[in-house]
Amino acid sequence: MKDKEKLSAYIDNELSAHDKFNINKLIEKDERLKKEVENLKILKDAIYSLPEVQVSEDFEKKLLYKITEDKMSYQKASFWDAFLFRPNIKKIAYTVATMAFVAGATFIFFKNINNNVDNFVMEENKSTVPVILSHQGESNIAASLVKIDLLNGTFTVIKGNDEKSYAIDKMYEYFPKLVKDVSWYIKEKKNQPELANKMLAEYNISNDEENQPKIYTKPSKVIPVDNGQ
Amino acid sequence: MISNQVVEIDKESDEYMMLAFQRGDERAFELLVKRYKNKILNYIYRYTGDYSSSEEITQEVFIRVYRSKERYEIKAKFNTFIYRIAMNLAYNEVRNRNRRKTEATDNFFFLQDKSTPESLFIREEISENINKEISKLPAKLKDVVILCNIQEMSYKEASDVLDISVGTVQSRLSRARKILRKNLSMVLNLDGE
Repeated sequence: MKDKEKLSAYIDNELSAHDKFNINKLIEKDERLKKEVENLKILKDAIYSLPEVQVSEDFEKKLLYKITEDKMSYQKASFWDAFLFRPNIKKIAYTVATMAFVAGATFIFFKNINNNVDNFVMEENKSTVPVILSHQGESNIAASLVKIDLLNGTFTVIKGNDEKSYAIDKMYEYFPKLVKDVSWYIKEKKNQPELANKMLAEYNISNDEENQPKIYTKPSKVIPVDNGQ
Repeated sequence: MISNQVVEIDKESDEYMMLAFQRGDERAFELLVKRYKNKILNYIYRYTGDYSSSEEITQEVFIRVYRSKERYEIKAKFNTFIYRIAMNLAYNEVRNRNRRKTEATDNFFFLQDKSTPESLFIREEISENINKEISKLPAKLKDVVILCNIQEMSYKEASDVLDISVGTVQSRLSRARKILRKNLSMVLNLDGE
């Protein structure tokens, strides 16, 4: 460290005994260095003698007021912190939140299903749903698409035998499982009408011995588009 | 120079008072406020140059000491602890003021001075110049001047507060004095360079 830098520490009495001894020797020999030490002392005293400021008379009173205010707001905060972050409360809060989430999700799920059914009915002229009806002709089974008017209890044939593939496609759109079964049956088991009757009976739909489609039983329930699998 | 060399934990020490305060003795805190209120005010005032905000900040320092009593550990000297809080708040104040770009006011309250009006005027002139030059110093140099030259801390104490080595305190103080000596040579009638 340079000697000039040490002079500042020298006037603060912060030098080691060895450094102090050396600086003392230098000062004795060098008038300029001695003058420099004197200047630094003047500067140090001038800075130290800067007038002090004092706190106002009501400093402690104001401080006490602020601390009381601070304590009150802290206590309010710590009550809620303690309540919300206590381990048991935390567990309970998590459980309640999870249950609420599951309940909410379930509600929304079923509401959507109902909406789908409702929307479905609405789309089909408000009061109608399409169902597949099958009938047995001479030696085969055909499927027909009909519209069932739920309000009036009437049925309208949309597609008959000659357009059964269209009818099946259309029904697949609405009742995938039913159509899957029927189309499988039509392709693979068309010469076994007793199996067709059994399968159709599962859907509460009957067929007759005549060539024209005829309804014997109303479908027992509406199967929504998205949930018919 | 009188230096603060109290290290032992005696019943009058700041550290003992802080421990008593931790145990719930509010009077110990009041005593610490009495001991430090003007020291902290002066430290902050030298830093910010604004009396009214300095008093507000000093109150905030004590509020923080009050809040953090549980965190205080006996291994740290109390004055290191409180000056660090004060230093951080003073830094923030200066930084915020620079952002707001407002001028500091100088309406502080001096100690009662029994001098004549003339000598008082001269002293005020000199003080104003010194204050101005100190405030112009870079923050790192200003820190050591305030702590060592105004607050009478030893280099070791200042190094603890500023979290730097004793050697760094020594060199920064030397640099600061070199600048001040040059800029105040006319005001203080200092000879030569």
